[in-house]
Amino acid sequence: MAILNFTLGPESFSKLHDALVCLGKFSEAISIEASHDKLVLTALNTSKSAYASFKLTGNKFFSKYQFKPPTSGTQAKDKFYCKIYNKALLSVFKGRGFDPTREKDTAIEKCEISVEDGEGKKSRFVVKIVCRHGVIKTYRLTFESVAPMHAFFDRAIARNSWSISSRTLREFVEHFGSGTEQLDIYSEDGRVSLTSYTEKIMSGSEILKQPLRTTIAIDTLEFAEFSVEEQLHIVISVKDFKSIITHAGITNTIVKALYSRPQCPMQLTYSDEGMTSEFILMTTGEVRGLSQAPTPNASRAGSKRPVTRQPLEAKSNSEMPPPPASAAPSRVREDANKRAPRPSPPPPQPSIQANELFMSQNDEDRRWDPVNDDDDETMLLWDTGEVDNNPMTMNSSRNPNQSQSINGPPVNDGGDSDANLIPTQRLPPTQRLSEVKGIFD
Amino acid sequence: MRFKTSIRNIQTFSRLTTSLSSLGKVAWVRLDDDSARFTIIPETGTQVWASISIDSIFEDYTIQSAAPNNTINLELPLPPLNRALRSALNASSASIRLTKKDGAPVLSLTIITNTISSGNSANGFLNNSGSGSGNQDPFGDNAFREENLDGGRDREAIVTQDIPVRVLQADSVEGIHEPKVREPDAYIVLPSLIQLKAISDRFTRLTATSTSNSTSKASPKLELAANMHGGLKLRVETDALNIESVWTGLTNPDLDPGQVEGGLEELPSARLKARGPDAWARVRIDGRDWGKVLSVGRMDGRVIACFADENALILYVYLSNYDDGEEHSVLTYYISSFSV
Repeated sequence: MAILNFTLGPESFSKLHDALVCLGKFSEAISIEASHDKLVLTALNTSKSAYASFKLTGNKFFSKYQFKPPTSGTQAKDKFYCKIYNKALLSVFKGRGFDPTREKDTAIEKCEISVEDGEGKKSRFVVKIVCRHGVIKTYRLTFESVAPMHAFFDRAIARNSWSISSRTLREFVEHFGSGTEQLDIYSEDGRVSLTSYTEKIMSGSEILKQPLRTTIAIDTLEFAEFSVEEQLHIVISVKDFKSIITHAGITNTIVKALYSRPQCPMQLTYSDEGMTSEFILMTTGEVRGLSQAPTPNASRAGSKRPVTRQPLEAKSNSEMPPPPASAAPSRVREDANKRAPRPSPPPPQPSIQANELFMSQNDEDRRWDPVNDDDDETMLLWDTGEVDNNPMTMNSSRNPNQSQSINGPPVNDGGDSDANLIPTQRLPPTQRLSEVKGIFD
Repeated sequence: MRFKTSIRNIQTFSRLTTSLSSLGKVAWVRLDDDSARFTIIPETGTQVWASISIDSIFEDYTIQSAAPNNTINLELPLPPLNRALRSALNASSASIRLTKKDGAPVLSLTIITNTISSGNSANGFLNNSGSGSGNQDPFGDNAFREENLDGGRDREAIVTQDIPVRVLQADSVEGIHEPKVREPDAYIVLPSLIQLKAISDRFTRLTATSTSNSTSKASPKLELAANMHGGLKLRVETDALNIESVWTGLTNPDLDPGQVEGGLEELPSARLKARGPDAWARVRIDGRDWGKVLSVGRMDGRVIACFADENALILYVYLSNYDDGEEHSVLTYYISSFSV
């Protein structure tokens, strides 16, 4: 007996295809997580700076949805998860979308998907497409039993928010040329500017290969809701943003963005009938340590500074907000030196690569290496702090329960049914990858 | 150094840059008081020298330069310019100016578009009043603006596209001259370019497939010939096939006597004419390159082809001016002939 059975009508079928296409822009593999009332599809990109998830409501999105928890030993699991190579899934769904204008002969009537797993059974993800004239196509895909890695977004600290029609937003995004890397979002005096640019510095005749830099200035009234700190530059990957808006623009919906400050994640959400889309993107940008209390490390280092130190620099250091989990010293220093107030357009940012939703253990040490010997003090500053105790995490308001839950009971020992409440399923960003693996081993 | 102008005719400008970019990715642009000149000199293939009268694409044009004749020379990448102009196609207005951003020179294209926000304004009104961005004063500015909006005011988005450029020194471009070609043997007004392109491209493809196993892997060559009696021939010949299209009844334009040194009857074209309709001036041109040249057809200009027998083909594409002033816009294509 299959663990999971669900049936898609033609419309849901093409919606699922759209979601798979969107997930495919983030990662090669998608993670599927089934519980009794919903199916969650997620993808995390390789640099772990972008996370995409689609939540499909069991009784709304599907015409039939049945989840029979597998039993391991005597205990029943309340979740099933697997990882599938997205290209395999896409090739099954491709070009079969529901299109009333197209030739009816090849139109699909419904699609039944079942997952077989368990002892003595072949683990297969079976897609059965029922077309007109009694044509049935069956695909049996293999999958990997890996628990998904979810990015966590703390709504409580996200005091900036806006929402806008997906169609309007798509119209704006279409102005962006190709080749740029970053998107800066900035608002001042009732105007919002979206700037797509690249930080690559080119010289000589190479300068002509610099991609088009595009700024779109719009009235905040264009937004359904706009409540963002004035003069805040927040920078995300323009490619990720385009992928999201391309998907969001398929339906006429409202895209909502939530974020706190640069170098903390941004959340973008929108929903369609039976489907909730959520994206968490790492941000970069100029950090202004306004409301941030100086962190112990920074202030300690600051007090150690010789008095002869240039006031500007000392000030910027004491103001220094928590760095991104994996920021390199060079980056921090650059930021510190650049923290003079800047007008729009945004300053070129150092490479985005250091910004991830999760910390990677492997090259962490290398990241702390000095880049420039001239500035010993900055090095001292960062080397004094134990990374584990470093309060400078991406998600600074992470509560103790959550961090504790990292070492909590493994999920397959039973737990709650709601993913939103299960700490074990929700990994706050900035954990070590090794810890992440540990949970599910 | 200053350059600023509004774009009067976005579509024409966009078509121009699209046509030019088929032959090369980077253009040398020379701007002065009277004209904007776009020059493409690819490593191989056809050169274009386009001289556009200011009025035909720009208005409110201001230029200021220390260089002689108030000239600005730029090196301009065409694909980003094309991409930028695409944003402007539905714009209510667009302007361009030379400026510096982050220390690098850019041509900054500012586009004002009206956004389509159907139903969104209602949303904005309702949600805004609910969520309140700190402005709870019912008589504040915000309240009045929202009310206006609900009445259906148009909202605009300002899109700025920055195209990287290099500013060239006057003396660095001094040595670049338009090619000199001997007096042509035949002048003829080309038939509809869309027709000519369809046939040329077909011939090119046929030649490419029929010679694919032969020794010459080079691009297919087309033979184009004109006489001074309204005839034009396009021909391909390979081992396997021999096709020819002939146009008749075309016009051989008269030359302006004032522009010709010596007598008209001394010219090679006059001699060719005297030899009758069976005398042809012939060139052999690269089929693929020719296809790119013919993309200028989208400019909807009048095209005169000048044949220098076995030497070169020159196309003059005359654009109809916005208000038919004295100045004319003309694109000149220099296409060299291959030997047999």
